[in-house]
Amino acid sequence: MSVQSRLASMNSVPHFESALSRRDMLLRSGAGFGGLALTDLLSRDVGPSLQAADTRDESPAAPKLAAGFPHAKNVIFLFMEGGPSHMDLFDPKPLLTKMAGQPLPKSFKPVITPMGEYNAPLLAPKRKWKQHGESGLWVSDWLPHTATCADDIAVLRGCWTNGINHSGGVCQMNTGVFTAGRPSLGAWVSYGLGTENQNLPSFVVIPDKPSDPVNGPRNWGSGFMPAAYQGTRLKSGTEPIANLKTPKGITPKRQRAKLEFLTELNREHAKTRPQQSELEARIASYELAFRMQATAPEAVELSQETDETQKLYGIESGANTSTFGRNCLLARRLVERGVRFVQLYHGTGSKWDAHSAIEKNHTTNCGESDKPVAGLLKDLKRRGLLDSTLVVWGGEFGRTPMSEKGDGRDHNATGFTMWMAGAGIKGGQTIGETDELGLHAIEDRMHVHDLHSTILYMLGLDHMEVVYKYKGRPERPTLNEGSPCLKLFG
Amino acid sequence: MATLPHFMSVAVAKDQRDDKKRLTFEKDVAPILANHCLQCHGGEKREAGLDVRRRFTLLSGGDSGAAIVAGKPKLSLLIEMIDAGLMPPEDKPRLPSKTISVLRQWIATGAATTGEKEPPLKNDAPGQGDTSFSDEARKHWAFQPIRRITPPRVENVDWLQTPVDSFILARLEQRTWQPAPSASREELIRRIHFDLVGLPPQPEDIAAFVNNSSPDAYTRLVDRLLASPHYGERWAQHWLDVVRFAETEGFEYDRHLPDAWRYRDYVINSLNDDKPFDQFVTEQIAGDEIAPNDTQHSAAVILHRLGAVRRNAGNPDIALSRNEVLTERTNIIGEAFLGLTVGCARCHNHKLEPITQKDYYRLQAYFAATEENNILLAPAEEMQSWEKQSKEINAQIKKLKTEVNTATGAKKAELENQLFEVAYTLPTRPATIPSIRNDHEHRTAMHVLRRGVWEQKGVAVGPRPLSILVPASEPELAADIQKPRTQLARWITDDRHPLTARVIVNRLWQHHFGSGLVKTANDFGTHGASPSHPGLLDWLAQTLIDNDWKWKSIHRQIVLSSTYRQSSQHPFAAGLSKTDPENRFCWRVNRRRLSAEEIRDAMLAASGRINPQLRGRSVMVPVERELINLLYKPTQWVVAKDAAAHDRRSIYLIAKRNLRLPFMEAFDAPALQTSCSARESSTHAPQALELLNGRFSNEVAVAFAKRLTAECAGQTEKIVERAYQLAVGRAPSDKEHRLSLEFLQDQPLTEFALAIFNLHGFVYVR
Repeated sequence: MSVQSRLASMNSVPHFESALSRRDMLLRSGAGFGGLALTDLLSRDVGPSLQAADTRDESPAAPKLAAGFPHAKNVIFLFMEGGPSHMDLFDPKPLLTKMAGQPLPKSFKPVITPMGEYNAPLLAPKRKWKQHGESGLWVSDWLPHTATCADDIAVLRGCWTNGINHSGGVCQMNTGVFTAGRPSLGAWVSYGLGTENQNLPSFVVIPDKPSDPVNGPRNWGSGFMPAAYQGTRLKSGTEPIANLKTPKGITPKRQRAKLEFLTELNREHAKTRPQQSELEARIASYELAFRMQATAPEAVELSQETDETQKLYGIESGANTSTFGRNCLLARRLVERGVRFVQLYHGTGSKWDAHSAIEKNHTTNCGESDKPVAGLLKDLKRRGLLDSTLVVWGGEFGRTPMSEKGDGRDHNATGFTMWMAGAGIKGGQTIGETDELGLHAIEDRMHVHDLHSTILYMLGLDHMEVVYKYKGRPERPTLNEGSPCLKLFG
Repeated sequence: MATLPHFMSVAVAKDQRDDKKRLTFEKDVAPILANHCLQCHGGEKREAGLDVRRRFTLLSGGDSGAAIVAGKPKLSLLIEMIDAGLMPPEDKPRLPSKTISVLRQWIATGAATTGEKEPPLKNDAPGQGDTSFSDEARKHWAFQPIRRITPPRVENVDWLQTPVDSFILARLEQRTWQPAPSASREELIRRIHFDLVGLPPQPEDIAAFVNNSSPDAYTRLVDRLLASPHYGERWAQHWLDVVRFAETEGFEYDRHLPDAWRYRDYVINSLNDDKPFDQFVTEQIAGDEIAPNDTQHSAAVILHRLGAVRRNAGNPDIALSRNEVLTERTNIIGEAFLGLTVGCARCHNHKLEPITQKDYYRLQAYFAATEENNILLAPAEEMQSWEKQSKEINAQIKKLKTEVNTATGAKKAELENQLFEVAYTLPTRPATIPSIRNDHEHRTAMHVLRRGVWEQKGVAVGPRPLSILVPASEPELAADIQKPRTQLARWITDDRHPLTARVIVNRLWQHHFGSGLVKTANDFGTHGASPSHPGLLDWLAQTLIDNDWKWKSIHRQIVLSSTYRQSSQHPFAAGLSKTDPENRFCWRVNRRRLSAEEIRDAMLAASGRINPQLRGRSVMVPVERELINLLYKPTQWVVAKDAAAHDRRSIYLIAKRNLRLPFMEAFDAPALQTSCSARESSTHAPQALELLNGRFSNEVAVAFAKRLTAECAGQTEKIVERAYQLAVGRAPSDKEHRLSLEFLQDQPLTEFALAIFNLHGFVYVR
């Protein structure tokens, strides 16, 4: 198929295309268990109700050509769950220090905050601010390591969202809306682009705690799209993918014998039913499972990394940076192996949610995450991966200039900061601003839909061209709203 | 009071003074509106839902609320839009200021008409009221009355078993296609068993059926299965999917509804009793209004409690929560009973369907007074002692929890175990029904909400069915009507309702054939799929109604048909698949992968471990501690003390939104968040890992191997034979037999047993 016709076919609905259909592949690769060119990890043969008949043989996650001119091949989304305070990290507000203790001036448009702290006195940031790098980007002393990457980072100070509580906010940052039911951004990316590595999932999610983020798996769900596009949650610990290990007492030899026996019987079964492609798909899924048992552990094995690299990420015995550092390093290994969309949660379970004692809270959270994040950026850069990897940092919302409980801050959905790096972004710049106290985004405002369309744009996807038909309605990742922020490219 | 007469006299005087200038709609206003507005707002078109042809249509207004407020020109949208220069539209001439003042004055003086009562609008057909539906939408097939249809004539009358076959064969004959040959008896008994009861046939049943040459052997088999209590268990699951049945509230806290399993049992019992579907629907929608003191009716309305409920921290907005609850209650009515995506009209007029935003809130208005009502079935003292006991234990739990949080390593693990031990001593809550009732005193005032935002209240509305489906003159019910949901149920279950019967027979067809006559089972709207056999759909719907809305009458028509008894293989499949890849014409029966529940139940059945106990409290089975720790309150997961309960059928496993069993998840069990009208049937590597390496499969494989050894006295040949009979429902072929014996020469029986559960022949029915 020519590039032109591929592009043409991409214009409306992303198609499922691969050079060979699974059937062809199986026929060409011959029998021999495990000796097969493998299809993707989540090679799901979706039921006929969900796919057009002519594409049913294809894997939903087969690689697809992007419609635009991609800057990024992969995304690493660093989700600081609970809402980091922009006024204490990236968005200095001298006036806030001056007006500390006073109420919010009447000239500010009222906001609804979940805990009703609208009338509480303003809280001064206790941070020391400095400009960093050649660009002179403002970063507070809470993030000294991130500050060393200032020239690679584009800070987006004008972000805003609708979800004012954690459930709604996290849901919206992942799916575009604050109510359940829509596919997550990673699922849209899997749908739009497919995977690069047929042995690994195209969308991986790694929380830093044993708990789930607020809302659980639907944050990486595929909503109304086939389950093939959903994220695969990796756990920390010995078994990151469920059932990857054979039960105790089952040797690899025995497992192989069982699979060969099984495959022979299943092939026999499929042979008499030549039109039933799902039977072949099922055989392939067993072959893949077997290969995954062999290959996936390697991808998640960090001991192959040098001490120097591990230290760069803050992975050191007893260090508070170890857990998130490991996840950041794992993210690099996954994108290296072609995983399309990696989402790391830091502070899983709303740990950034500093309603009180923000000093203690943010000191802990910044302390855990700052070095790993900087390590990731530096490591990606020195390996030449930063050009093709978009790194996104941020939470579901920011925090209020008004205090809560004396020394905390409430949720702020009307103005907050995120940053992006890599993928051809011009670093060292600040885009957008909030008002003088940091309450409302006022310049270059970026709604979640804008953020999402920007991320998709970086991957070469026009958010209006990624369409999934559901209940007869063309569904798009940004609900037909938002536009990419082109200023990021300078 | 002394001032009152004075005040009144002034008012009267003012009225008399204005009388000369008093304008009327017919004489002064209608001509203006006809000249400037009617082209878009009335007659053919009703932009923004506004019709200017009568005073009453101006008063009821359009999507943005009333167009006029009598006596108050400043508050009248009509004047506001004209003054702002927004109407008439840019490309149309402006209204002369004199004309505008006529309109203003007419409103100021009370917006009078000449007569007492305005004549009604002529066209009273459905969808002709205050809406702007296109002819095409009004004529949409699913909104037309169900037709009484005679099955078509066919050539090959010998093939006909039930009228269903006439419809199918007529279409095949048009194309000169032949139906597939009949399925073998072995195939047929396995198919009908899974289909009707969700369990594999016993080898003895298979042998008896295969060797029974009597002409009514199959009919008897069908009758036996339809009478089996397991029928209700199997078909209840389909209904539970549609109403997104879960026993917990979801979101962060995922609180457990007390005894929500009573709804599951209500459904199982209703289906086993072959309760007429109209009654089934009525009980679920309005059971509390009809028989407030009857436990079955109270359990039926648990339906309205099944949506996810947000009770997060940081959500002080009660009105917003109420709005979300009402939204859940309304949307499910559309999807489950009407087969319409009414939810889309929550924020704007439905972009695709003839459903206005006003329609949506009128539907929601039936629920304005609906409130939660947990009915205690036990004596009040029992509740008090339960509360007292749990309070004490909860205090211990809380204390332990703090200790767990600060502990590390082995100490932490030990404390965690202790925590669960203590949690297991929590007494069972006294019997309760998580029901609903009407609370008219706290009824939510219903308005059309702009963009669905509860703060942006538009025009007030009362209950009324969707306007595309009722005459334009159908009145809106009073907002404070005493039994609103009874009215709703009455409308939905009316024999003349074009959707209800069609939607349900389509679901029944879908679960027998894998795909509905209408593929989009929850969407019969203009953008849903068209029926492959419209005549058959109507015939089935009318047959259901004629048979007192009893499902089993439809099951019989379907499963006794030749269509259903076809093989899944067709000699010309290669060619036919090219023209009809989805088998819409039913030229064979589709192979079907078992659902998650069926796979688990069949494994338990084959291994002999299955516990066939019916009904009762839902079961929590042992799962990895890691999963439990993910819960907001890990102590919510209380594993059933009686281990035999762990082997009960899957429908009795708790439906907990925040902890779905990984096994069930892998095999496409629904997410329990939204209505699931059709299961996916995906094929992926994690399924293979689950069936090969998972704890459940390995445990059951051990039981299966034990059973085989015991029943076959350790004789390998017999074991292979028996394993195939139990799990695949047939004898192994020579090759299968040989390969199995070879495998068993150097591999243990448990490995063979496990492999059997991984066979195509085990997870697929043909």
